[in-house]
Amino acid sequence: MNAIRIEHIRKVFSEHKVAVDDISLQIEEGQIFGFLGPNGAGKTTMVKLLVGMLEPSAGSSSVMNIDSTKDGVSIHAISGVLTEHAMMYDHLTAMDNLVFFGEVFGLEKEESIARGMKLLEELDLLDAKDQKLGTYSTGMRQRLSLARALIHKPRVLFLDEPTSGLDPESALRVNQLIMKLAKQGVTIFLCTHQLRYAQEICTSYGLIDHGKLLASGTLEDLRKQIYDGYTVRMKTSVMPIHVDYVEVEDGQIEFKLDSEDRIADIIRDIVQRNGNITHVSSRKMSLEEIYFALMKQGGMQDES
Amino acid sequence: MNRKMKAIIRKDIRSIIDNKRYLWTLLLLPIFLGVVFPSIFVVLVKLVPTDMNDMDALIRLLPQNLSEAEIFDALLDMILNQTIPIFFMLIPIMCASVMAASSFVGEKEKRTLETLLYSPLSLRDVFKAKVLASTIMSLVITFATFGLMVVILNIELQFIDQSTFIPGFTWLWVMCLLVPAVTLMSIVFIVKGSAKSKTMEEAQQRASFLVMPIVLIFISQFTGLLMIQPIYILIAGAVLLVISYVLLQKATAAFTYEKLIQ
Repeated sequence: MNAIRIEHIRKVFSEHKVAVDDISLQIEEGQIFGFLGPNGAGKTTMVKLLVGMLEPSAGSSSVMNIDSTKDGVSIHAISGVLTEHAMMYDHLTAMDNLVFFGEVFGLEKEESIARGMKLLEELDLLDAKDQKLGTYSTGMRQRLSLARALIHKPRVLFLDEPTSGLDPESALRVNQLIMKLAKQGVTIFLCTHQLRYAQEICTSYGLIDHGKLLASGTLEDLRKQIYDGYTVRMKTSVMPIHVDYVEVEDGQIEFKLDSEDRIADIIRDIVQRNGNITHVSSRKMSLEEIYFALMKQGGMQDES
Repeated sequence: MNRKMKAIIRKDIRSIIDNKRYLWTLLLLPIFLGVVFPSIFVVLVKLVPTDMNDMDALIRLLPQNLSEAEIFDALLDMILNQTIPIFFMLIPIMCASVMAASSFVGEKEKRTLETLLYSPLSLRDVFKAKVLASTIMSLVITFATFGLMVVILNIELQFIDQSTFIPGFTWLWVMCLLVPAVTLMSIVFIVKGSAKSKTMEEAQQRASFLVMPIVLIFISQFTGLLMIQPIYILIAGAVLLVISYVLLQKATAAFTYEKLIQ
């Protein structure tokens, strides 16, 4: 079942700024979907369109088959939203904040406390539960906001840069929690510009720039759009023949192969020609490389 | 009203109570206007009546056949039952505007409104809860001040000459109609301006326009230019209440998520 469906959605703000331009997407339930793009690409606008906070200029979207434009309230009931601008109350303690938002989401006070305790423990904030939010650091606030977004056990979670401002240890905890939720069937719509981070935890991706969707799908799907082969790096005293290589740092060379099977043939050839090989490694295109390749393509299309 | 809305009302009231600056603002003006100010008149009229020359205009409005002692009692009655009630309305204006500015614009300023709008409550219900919080706070403070004023004035009068102060019909209509009406009207001003106002102070300035007519009526009464009879207070209160309610509905209906989170 599609948890999120977006059809030809477009959002033009009053100053004729096109924030989202004709985007269509389907996201399966239980996926961790990485919505990737630079700052100002239209990621947060898309989240606000999906949860019914913004009215689309054209097109439509739905979350768990609920129309975003017609029934934002029902979408809010099954969604947790964490955005950079969605703050909590500084004069309340962490637990009071969670109890308040629990009650606003229809939970009983006792249920909110129990759920809040569990989330604070998972996010390593239990010791600071009675501290007022005003005393919290940026990282602690970010983790508490995640706890707030999860207080009502949402089926879909919209996260905008969830690890921004977090130390590596806290980021790891947050990632573990996100992956645990996905295993439980929660669909995660994760907006970020941190590509390595996205590759670590996401199961599918959408790449956006200037409001346009450049590509979407799994990492394999994206690779197929750019280059699905291998990049081989080698340090050798005799250069391989029949391959176009380029010299990179530390006396190493790099070349591309459609299949890993050919590496053995190349090594054999070099050895037979009395060459010494001190390093061989191969890898597929990373999300970062795909992203920049797509951005370059997008830029070239815009120029033409 | 559902439990979700009650949670917002409780939180909004607590936000004001927890903020010492706003709490003192909410308490000091009512104490001055409702307790100190009427007490000054009681002391002036009862203990130093010869210094009341500034109130000649008011005295001229009193019946001509009264003795000197009766004139000062009638003057005090006129001040306490017809002039002070008008001035008293500054209390709900101030309370409602401070509360509504904190509840609507303060949340926007602190970026907590967006978080609240992600809750499964319609925009209308969120607004309704916030209007109720501001109204409850304003009415509680105004009625408490009124009660305190009646008690303190009676204690003072008992000490001075064993007389009593019984609030007249003007007070009844002011408390039952005008106070809720100006409370709602202040909230309307704040709500209407909340999309444009960037800070709480800016929002409160908008509501301060309401103070002007009150001050003008008060001065007019004091200078003998105008003396509003209870029946006109009743009519004005009822009309203002209806207008405020209609304006509030319109102001609330004009809002969309998009306008609020921009």
